Amino acid sequence: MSQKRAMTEIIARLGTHASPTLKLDDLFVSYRLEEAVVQAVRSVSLELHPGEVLGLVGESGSGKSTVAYAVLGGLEANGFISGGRVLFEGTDLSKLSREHLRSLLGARIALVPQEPATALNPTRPVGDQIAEVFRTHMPNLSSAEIDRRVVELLANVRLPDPQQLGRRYPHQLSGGQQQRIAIAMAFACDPTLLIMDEPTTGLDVTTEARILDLIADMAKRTRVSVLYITHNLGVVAKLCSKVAVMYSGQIVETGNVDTVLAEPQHPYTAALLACIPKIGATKFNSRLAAIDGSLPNLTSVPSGCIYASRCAMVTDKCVETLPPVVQTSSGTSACWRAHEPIRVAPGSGVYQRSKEVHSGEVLSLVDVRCEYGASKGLLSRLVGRGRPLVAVRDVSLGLQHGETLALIGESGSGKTTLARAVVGLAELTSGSIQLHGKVLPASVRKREVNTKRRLQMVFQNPDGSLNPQWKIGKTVARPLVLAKASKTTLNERVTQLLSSVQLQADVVSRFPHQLSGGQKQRVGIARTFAAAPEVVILDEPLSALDVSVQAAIVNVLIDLQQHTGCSYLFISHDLSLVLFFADRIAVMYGGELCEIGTPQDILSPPYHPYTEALLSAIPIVDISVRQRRVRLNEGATDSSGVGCPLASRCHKKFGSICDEERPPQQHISKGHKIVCHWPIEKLALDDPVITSAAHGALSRGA
Amino acid sequence: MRIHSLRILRNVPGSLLVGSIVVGIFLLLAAIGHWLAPYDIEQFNMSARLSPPSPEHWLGTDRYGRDMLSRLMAGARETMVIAVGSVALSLVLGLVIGLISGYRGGLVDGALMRTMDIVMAFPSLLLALLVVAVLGGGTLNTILSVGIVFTPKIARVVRSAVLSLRGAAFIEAAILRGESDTHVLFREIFPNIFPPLIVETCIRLSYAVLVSVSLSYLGLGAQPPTPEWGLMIGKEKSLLLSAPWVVLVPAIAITLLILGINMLGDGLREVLVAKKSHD
Amino acid sequence: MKVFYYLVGRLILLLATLLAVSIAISAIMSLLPGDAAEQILGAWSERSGATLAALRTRLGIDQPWYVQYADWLQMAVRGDLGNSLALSVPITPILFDRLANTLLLAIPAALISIPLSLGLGVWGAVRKGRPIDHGISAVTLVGVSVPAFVLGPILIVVFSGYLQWFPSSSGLIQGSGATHLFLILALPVLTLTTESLAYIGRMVRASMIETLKSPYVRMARLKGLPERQVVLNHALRNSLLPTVTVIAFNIGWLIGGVVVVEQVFNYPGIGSLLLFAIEQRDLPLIQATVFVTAAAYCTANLLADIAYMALNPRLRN
Repeated sequence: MSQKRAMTEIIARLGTHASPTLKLDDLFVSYRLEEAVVQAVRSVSLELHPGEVLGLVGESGSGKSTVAYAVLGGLEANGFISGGRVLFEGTDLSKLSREHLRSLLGARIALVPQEPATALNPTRPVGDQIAEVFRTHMPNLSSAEIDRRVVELLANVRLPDPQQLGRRYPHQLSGGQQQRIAIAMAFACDPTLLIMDEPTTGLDVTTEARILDLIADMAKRTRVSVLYITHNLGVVAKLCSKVAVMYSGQIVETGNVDTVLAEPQHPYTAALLACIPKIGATKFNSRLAAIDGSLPNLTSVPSGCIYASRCAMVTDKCVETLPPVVQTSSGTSACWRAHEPIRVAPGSGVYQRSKEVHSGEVLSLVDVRCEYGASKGLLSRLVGRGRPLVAVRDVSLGLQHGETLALIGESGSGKTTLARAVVGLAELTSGSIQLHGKVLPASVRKREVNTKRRLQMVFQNPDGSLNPQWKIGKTVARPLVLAKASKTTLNERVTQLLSSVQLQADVVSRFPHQLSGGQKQRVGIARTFAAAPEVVILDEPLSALDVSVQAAIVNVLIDLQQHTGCSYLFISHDLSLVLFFADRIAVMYGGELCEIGTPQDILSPPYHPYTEALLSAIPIVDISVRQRRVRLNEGATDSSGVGCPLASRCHKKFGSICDEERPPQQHISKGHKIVCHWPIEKLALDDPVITSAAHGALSRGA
Repeated sequence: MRIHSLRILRNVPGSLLVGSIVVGIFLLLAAIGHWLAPYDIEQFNMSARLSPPSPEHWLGTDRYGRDMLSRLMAGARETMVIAVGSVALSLVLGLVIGLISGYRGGLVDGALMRTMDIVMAFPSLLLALLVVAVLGGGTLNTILSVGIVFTPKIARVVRSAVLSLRGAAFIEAAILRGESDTHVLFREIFPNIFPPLIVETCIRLSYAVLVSVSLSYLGLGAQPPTPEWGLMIGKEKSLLLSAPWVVLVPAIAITLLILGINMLGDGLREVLVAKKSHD
Repeated sequence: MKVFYYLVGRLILLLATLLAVSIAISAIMSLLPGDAAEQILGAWSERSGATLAALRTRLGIDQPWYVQYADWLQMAVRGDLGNSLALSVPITPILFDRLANTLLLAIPAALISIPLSLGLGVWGAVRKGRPIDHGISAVTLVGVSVPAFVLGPILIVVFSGYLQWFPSSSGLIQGSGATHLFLILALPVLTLTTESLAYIGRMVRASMIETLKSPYVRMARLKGLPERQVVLNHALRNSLLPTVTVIAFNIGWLIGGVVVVEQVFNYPGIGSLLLFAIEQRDLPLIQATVFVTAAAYCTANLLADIAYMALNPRLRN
C-alpha cells in the first residue's frame, strides 16, 4: 500500500516544476445571510499538482464543500468569493466570464457530487445524461461516436451490461451503480481536474471499497489531479497522497498523508485522530478522546486561533493572536506550537462492567423471521401477487444481561428490520422475541406498558427523533410523566438525565431546531434513559454524526451502561467503531446471520467470507496497519432461502453446494459461530486480514 | 421585496404585510361596518335613486336610492361571515376526517378517501350550487354548502401531512413508550401540521369568498335585501352600462378582498417555507 | 402490460364514481322542496290537488326516488336520458347541443391559455426577482383574484360599451356565420382565458422555481450545459409533472365553473341549462346535466393521471 503511495509521490514530484493544476491563493468565501455577511472560508491556500490526489478533510461546518463549489463557480445564490484567487493552470477562475467558465466545466474540470441519486435527473435515461456532456463540449462528434464512447465509459466504470444500461433510469440502479454513472460522466471528456465531493457517502462499506478502487485506478491511468473532499480520514489514508485538514473555514494543517496521519502537527488533527478507535483497542483498555466544546459562531470570528476554544494545548497567545502558517516536515501547520510535541486531552477512565449486572439472558430472539408483502388473502395468492420479501430469515440471538451486542451489516442485511421487530415496530412473521424468557406480543400496541418501558430505542436520525414543537424539557420529562413521577422529582431527574449525557440544564427551554445534531442525539438518549429501560436498542445512532461527536456519544453510552447496568443491542454498519465498543458482534448478510463472536474472534481467522470482505473494506486511519485486499464479486443477494445468500458474490465460493443447500452453523468456541459450507479448519488457515506492521496479527489489548 | 424599515418587521415579506393589512381592514369593516355606515342600508330614497358618486353619497346610490357606501360597509360582514364560517366548518370537518384517515389507515382511510373522491368529482361551484339548491338560499345554507364542498380538500391536506409525519422517529418513540392514540394524534402530530394547514386555509378562504359570492350572484346564495356584494352585482347587472358604479363598487370590493387574502396566503407560504429551509 | 391493467382499473373506478355520483344526485334532489309538477302548475298547484296528482303520475314523479333512478339508469345506458319535465322534450339533444356550446367556449380558452401560461410561468421563474417576474406575478395575482362576474362586466364595459367592438350579449342564433360566431364568443372566451391563464401561470411558475433549485439542475449547470438546455431539457419536464394535475383541474373548472360566465354573457351553455333545471326542479334534466359535467371532469382527471404516468418513469415500472 505505501509502495503505491511512494510511486505516486515520485510521479507527483516530477511534475512539480510545472504550474500546479489547481492553486488556491488566500481564498475567502462569504455568504449573505439575513443577519449578516458570514465568512465561511477564510484564507485558504493549497496546491494540487498533476497526478496528485489531495484529500480535503474536515467535519461538518469546516467549509470543505464550500471550497469545492467556489472553485466550480457553483455556490448558492447568496455565496460569493470575497477574496483571493482560484488558479486553474494559471488562470483565475473567479475572474472568468460565465461563458468561459461554462466551457471548462464538465470538460477540463469535472465534479463527482455527493449524492448521485439527486444529482441525476430522474426522468431521463442515464446514458442520455452522459451523452449530453459530449454533445455540449465536443459538438463535432457524430451521435454514433457519442454512443460508442458512452458504452466505453460504462464499461470502464465496470458497470454490468454496458450496452443496455444506458437506457435505464436512475431509480432502477443501486446507489453504487448510480455513483459509477456520476464518475463516468466526470471522466467523459478527460478532465485535468477532478473534484469529488464525498462521493462515497451513503454507500455500503463494501461498495465504497470498490468505488475507491475504481477511483484510484482511473486516477492513475489518466493522470488527472483529484481534489477529494471527505470527512473520513480512513478514506484519505487509502486513496490520497496529500492531505489538507480544515476546521471552521480555515486550513489548519497540510502535508503528505503518511506523515500527517502518523505524526500530526496540529492539535486539531491530533484530536481528530484520537477520536477514531484504533484497531485492536477496546473500551476495556482505552477511552476515545472527544473534543470539548463546539464549533465557533461564524458571525463573530475570534481574533486569535479559530481552534483555541477547544484546544488541549491552548495558551494566551493562541487566544489573542492569529497563528502563523509554519512549515512542517511535509507541509504546513497553522499553530503557534506546531513544532512542539502535540498532545490531546486524555479520555478519562476505561469501562468497567457495572455491579448491577448479573448473568443470564435478558433478551432472546428465537428463529425470528420477518417477511413483507405476504398477502394473506387467497385471491391475491391466486393472482400470483403473494411473493413475499424475506427481510430476516430465522435468526436466533441472545443478549446477555449488561452486555453490548452489536449487529453489523450493510443495507439489505435485515439488521434494522430485526431491531424494529424486537421493539414491535416491524412485522414479525414467525419466531419469538422473549424478555427474561417471557414471549412478547409481536406488535408494540399489544404489549403491556411496563414491558414497553423496559425495552426502549434510540433512533438514527437526530432530526426526526424529537418533536419539533416540543421544548427539550418537555421531551425528556415525558417518560417520567407517564411513569407518574411527582413534580419535584421530575425536575431533578430531568437535570440528572441531561447531565448524564453532558448537556447543560439550560437546554430545557430550547427547541430542537436550535440544537446541533450531536446535542439532539444526546437529548434522544436522555429521553430513552428517562424510562429506566433494561434493554436499549440503538438503531445506527452515530451514522449521522461527525467523528468527534461520535466519540463523545460513544463515551456517553459507555458511561450510562456502566452506571445503570442496562444491555445494548447496537445496530451499525461501522465495524471499526463496533470492534472498540461491543462485547460481542453479530454479522448479518441478506437477512441471515453469518458470524457471531467477540471482537477478537471477528478480527482473527477463521473468518466468514463476508466478514473477511468487510474487514478488508474498512477505511483504516492507522497507516502502520496492513490490510489484505478482499473484494466481493458483483452480483445480487439471494434471499430466496435456498442456499447461502452470499453465494453469487462470494469470492471463495466453496462450490455449487452454496447455491443449493443452507450452510451449516459451525461452533468454533463458546460464543463464536460461523455459518458457512467451508470447513472451519480450512478457514482457520487464512491469513489475518488486518495486521500491524510491528506486532503481527492484532489481538485484544495489544 | 422585503420591508427593511422597522426592525421587528425586518424579515416579513411585502406580500404578507400588505395582505394582512388589507384583510385586517375588511375584518374591521365586518365588525363595525354596520355602525360606521352613514346611512341606513335599508332606507329607500327614490328621489335620489341611481345617482352617481357625489358629496352626499360618496359611492352613489342604487336603484332604490340606497346609499352604496353604507351597503358596501355593511356587506363586508355578510361576505366575511359566509367566507369565514364556511372555512371554519370545512376546517373542523376536514381535520377530523384527515387526522383519523391519516393515522388509522387501512379500511377506514380507504372508505373515507373514496367518499372524499366522490365529493371532489365535481367542480366546487357546481356542487355548492346543488347543495344550496336543495337546502334553499340564505346565509346559513351557503355556509353549510360551501363548507361541505371544501371539506375534502382540507381533509386531503391534513391527511398527507399526517402521513408524512407518521413515519417520523419521534412518533415511533411515542408509540414505544406507550402513549395512547389520542395523545399521539393531538399532542404529537397536530402541533406539527400547522404550516401546510395554515397555507391551505388561506387558499380555501379566498376560494370560499369566490364561491359564495358567485352563488349569491347567481341568486342562490344570500337573499335580498341582504347587502351581500355578489348579490348586489347579480341583481343589478343590467345597470352595468347605464349606472356602472352600482356594479363596480361591490365588484372592486370583492376583488380587493380576494387579492388581499391571496397575498396573505403567498406571504405565509414564504415565511413558513423559509422557516423550514433555515434548519 | 401493467400499464394496461392500471388503465382498465382507472376506467372502472371512473364508471363506479359516476354511478355513485348519479345515485347521490338522485337522492339529494329528492330532498328538494317542491317538485316539477308544482313548478309547471305554478300558482295553480295549490288549487287543485287532483290536477297536481294527475300531473305527477303523468310525469312519473309519484314514484319513490330510487325507482325513478332505476328507470333513469336503464334508459341512460342505452343513451336515452329521458324527457325534460319542464320542457317536455327529450333531454339528450338539448343537452348535447348546450354541451357543444360550452365546449365552443372551453376549448379555445384551454388551447390559448395552456401554452401561454406555460410560457409565462417558465419565463417568470427563470427571471425570478427581476422586473419581468414581478410584473408577471402581479398580473397573475390580480388574474386569480378577479372573479369572472367582475372581469366579464369590465370587459363588456370596455369592449362593448366604449369600443363597441363586440356585442354585450352572446345569445347564439342558429346558423350564425363564422364572423358572427367569433364576435359573440370573443368576450366570454377572453374572460375564461384570463382566469385560466392566471391560475395555471402561477402554478407553473411556483413549480418551476422549485425545480430550478433541485440538485440535478445544479449538476446540469456544473456539467457545463448552456442555461437554455438546463431549463428546457432538465427543469421543464420535471416541473410539468405537478402542472399536469393543475391543468386537469382547470379543464374541469372550465366545464363546470363556466356557469357564471354563461350568466354574465347570457350564453346558452350547459351551465345555464343546469341553473334553469334547478329552478324548475326538473329532476331528469338536473340529473343528466350534472352527470355529463361530472363525467367530463372525471375524464379530464383521468387523462391527467395518464399524462402524469407517461411523464414519470418511476411509475411506469
